[in-house]
Amino acid sequence: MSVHKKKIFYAEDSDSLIKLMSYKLQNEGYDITVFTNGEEVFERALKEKPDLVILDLMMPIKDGLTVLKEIKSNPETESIPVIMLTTNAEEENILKALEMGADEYITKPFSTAVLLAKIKKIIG
Amino acid sequence: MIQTVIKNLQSIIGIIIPTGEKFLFILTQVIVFLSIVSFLLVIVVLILRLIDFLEQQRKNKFLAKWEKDFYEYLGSPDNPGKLLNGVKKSQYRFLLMVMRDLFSVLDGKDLESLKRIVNETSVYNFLLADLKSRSTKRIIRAAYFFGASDNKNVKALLFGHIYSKKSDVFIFCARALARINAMEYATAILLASRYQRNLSTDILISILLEYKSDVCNYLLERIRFEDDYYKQISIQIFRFHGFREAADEVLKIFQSSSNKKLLIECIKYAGSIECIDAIPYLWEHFEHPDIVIKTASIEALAKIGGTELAPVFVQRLYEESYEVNIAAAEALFALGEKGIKLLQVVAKSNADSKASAIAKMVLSENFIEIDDE
Repeated sequence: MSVHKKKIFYAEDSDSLIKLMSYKLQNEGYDITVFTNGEEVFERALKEKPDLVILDLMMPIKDGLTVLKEIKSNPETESIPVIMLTTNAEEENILKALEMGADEYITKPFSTAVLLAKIKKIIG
Repeated sequence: MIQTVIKNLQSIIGIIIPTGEKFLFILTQVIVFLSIVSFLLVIVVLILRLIDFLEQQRKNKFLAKWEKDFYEYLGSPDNPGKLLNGVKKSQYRFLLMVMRDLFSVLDGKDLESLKRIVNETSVYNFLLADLKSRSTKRIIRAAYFFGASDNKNVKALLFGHIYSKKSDVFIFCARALARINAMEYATAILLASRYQRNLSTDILISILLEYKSDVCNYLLERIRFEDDYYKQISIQIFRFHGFREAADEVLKIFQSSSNKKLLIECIKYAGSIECIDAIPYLWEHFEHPDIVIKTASIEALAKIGGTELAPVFVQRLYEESYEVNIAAAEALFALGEKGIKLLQVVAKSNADSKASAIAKMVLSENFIEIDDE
């Protein structure tokens, strides 16, 4: 019997962090798709309807807030939970992200255990 | 025809240009020489690319084996020494590359795990050799990891590098000392920074801000014995930390100094901590002939003062200096309802088009209608 794996989109421009988080999330039984910039996240989310999207705020080509806005303003994707990854210096952006519908945020530097706990809380 | 041109050229530039067979011979020699140089350059580029490719291969091969164990280890109580079993010293640079990226983004148990690799394994001796070397690249690498790992054993070695003429070495070693919170070297960092020609004040401030906030007590104890530069930097650090205990000392400096940069820092500090005792001195500088000092005083008074200051700020809207006008308009806005009403009156009036335009600008920046009725 095949078990349905929860699908997570993870958009981040740090190669080392992508590898670490991919390993940790796969270990927890999630199906993870990574993006190194924000360009394709929304289009893919529209097609594949992931269970969760994790967005780094600062990304090349298209930043996290723009992608969040795209996801939350489309009726087909607005219910997908989004976690934003930010730095402490971006307090204004944290507020903006929460106003725009982000479900949770994590500030860098962060503990992977805390991020995993927040993911579990949102999608189980 | 060609020979006539060459002769004419010779007479103009005064150099004898060979003609006939001799000319062809020299031309051939030049072409052959250039061909050989181009060929050698292509070979060098190919060799460099090959070296880079092989290095990448070695890195990928190593990481493919090591990364899984590393990710398992992160956040666990496991012995970091086990992680390095079978890892050659020549491969340390690869693991340090991965760790460097993660040091700045990880916290909690993950960060502790990274620190333990640096402090409790053979990586420590590897980096120690780097710190003792003469290579800028290696010193910088060691300083970064020791600073990030809060390794107090290497404080003296880091200090040994802060008088280096190389600004990168100074910046990394000073930053490492600050991260370790080596308070006893804070003054030395400030003094050594003067020998760095290309070091900006912003970078120095960013280094000192790596210290924990108790650096303020340390700087305060010494401030009266040091010169204006030390005072100016220290007051900025006090302001960033919101350190109110320095108010008395800063006010003394404010009254006695005539150094423009230092005065501006005193004014900014007084405003940021809303120091009521500073109001009389800020008033004195409110009429200062220097626009920057005057602007800073308006901004500071706006933070400290009450609505009774509103008419004075309105007067400043009609001054010649654009900077003073902007500061006054923002000060009025900061005062709240009364200040905003006055801005609206000025915005609607046509008595002075510049004052009106500035009032409109500040109101619209803050999404306030000019006419609130």
